[in-house]
Amino acid sequence: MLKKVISLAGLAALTAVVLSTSASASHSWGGYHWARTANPFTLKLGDNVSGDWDAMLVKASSDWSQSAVLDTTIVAGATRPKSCRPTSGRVEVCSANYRNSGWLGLAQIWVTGGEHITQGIVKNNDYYFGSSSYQYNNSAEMQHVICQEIGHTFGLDHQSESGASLNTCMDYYHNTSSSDAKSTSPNAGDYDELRCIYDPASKGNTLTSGPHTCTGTGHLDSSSTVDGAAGSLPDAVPSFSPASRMAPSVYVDNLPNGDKLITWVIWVNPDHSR
Amino acid sequence: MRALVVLAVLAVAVPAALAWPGRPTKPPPKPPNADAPPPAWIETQARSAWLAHGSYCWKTACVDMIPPQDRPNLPVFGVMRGRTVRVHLGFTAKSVSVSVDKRTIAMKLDATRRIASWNATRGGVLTVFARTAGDASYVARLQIR
Repeated sequence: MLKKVISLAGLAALTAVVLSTSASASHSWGGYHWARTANPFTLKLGDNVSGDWDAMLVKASSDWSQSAVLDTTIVAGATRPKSCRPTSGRVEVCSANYRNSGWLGLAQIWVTGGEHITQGIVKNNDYYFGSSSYQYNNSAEMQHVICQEIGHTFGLDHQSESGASLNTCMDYYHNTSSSDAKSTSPNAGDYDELRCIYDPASKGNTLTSGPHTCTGTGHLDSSSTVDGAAGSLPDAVPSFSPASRMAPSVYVDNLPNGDKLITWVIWVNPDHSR
Repeated sequence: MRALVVLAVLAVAVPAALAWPGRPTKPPPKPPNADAPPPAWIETQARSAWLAHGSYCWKTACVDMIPPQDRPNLPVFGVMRGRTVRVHLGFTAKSVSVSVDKRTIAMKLDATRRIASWNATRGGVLTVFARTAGDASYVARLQIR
């Protein structure tokens, strides 16, 4: 028995994988991307922020527009900051006191067809900024947060998680003071990643900037989810998300062009209809 | 005869010594939002406990938390120095990294890619980060006894 246990332990040791941290991996977020018919495309950022956030939104928009594949433009917001509801085809950027939730920033996207982003929201939590006693309550940390959350809505994940600064706003560094400007803008790895996600000319190519590397998967689409401009989405498929379930057998998805995709389901198993 | 008795004792004692307490019996902590990654737990051979959620990009939401050292109710998990610690993820990971006070520590990921283990030698703020289609991190305060 002991021999068997030892053998099993040995087998487990053989099959175990020793891993080390690598900051160099691709940081595409699940392959999500905006559908568009040409590059560069322009994404509208709805301005629902106030106070210091206004200037930070301008800087973040300018920074991300350095990308070769996308531009951003700031437009009037279309939602109340507290509720921060999405608008089809664009990103609503909001700031409000979202209470002691534990999070500084939150980005949410809506996806159709499994990969195409149709709309997004960004929430920046004033509970921790402004007059709070949060130890990283400073303008550089705010810039870091708004830059990162907007980056998520393009389909970017975190680039580094160690807490060390890679001088990208897509890392987990926390700025110690307003003069600590590290990690407040995208870096070359972020712009590379956007090319890997969106640029068909980079498809199959490996792009490397410092420790960051990614392999291109970009393609153009036959229709666009940007700005709600699509006449229709011929390849639209139901999300089957709980939020879209309007009745036991009816799902309603809001398409980027304002249309609704209504899906009636006839369940094989009647239990599913409950 | 004596050898048989020794073997019989070992047959009972060794598996018992290798037993792990498993999933905590308490309910997991409330996640930051509805689309959070599945909860993860930490265990030694003596006890198990839930980890708190750290920052993540999961399904269609990215949530970026305040630093774990600033969180007032971070779970505290005590472990004897040198003992094996395991963290159970609720999903199959493409990669995992473990850090204590921002210093990466060597660990092993089992063949299922759901269990990370290491020998506890450092205490401090524990962060377990895992990538799959998105990413998830879990945090706690690790106390070495």
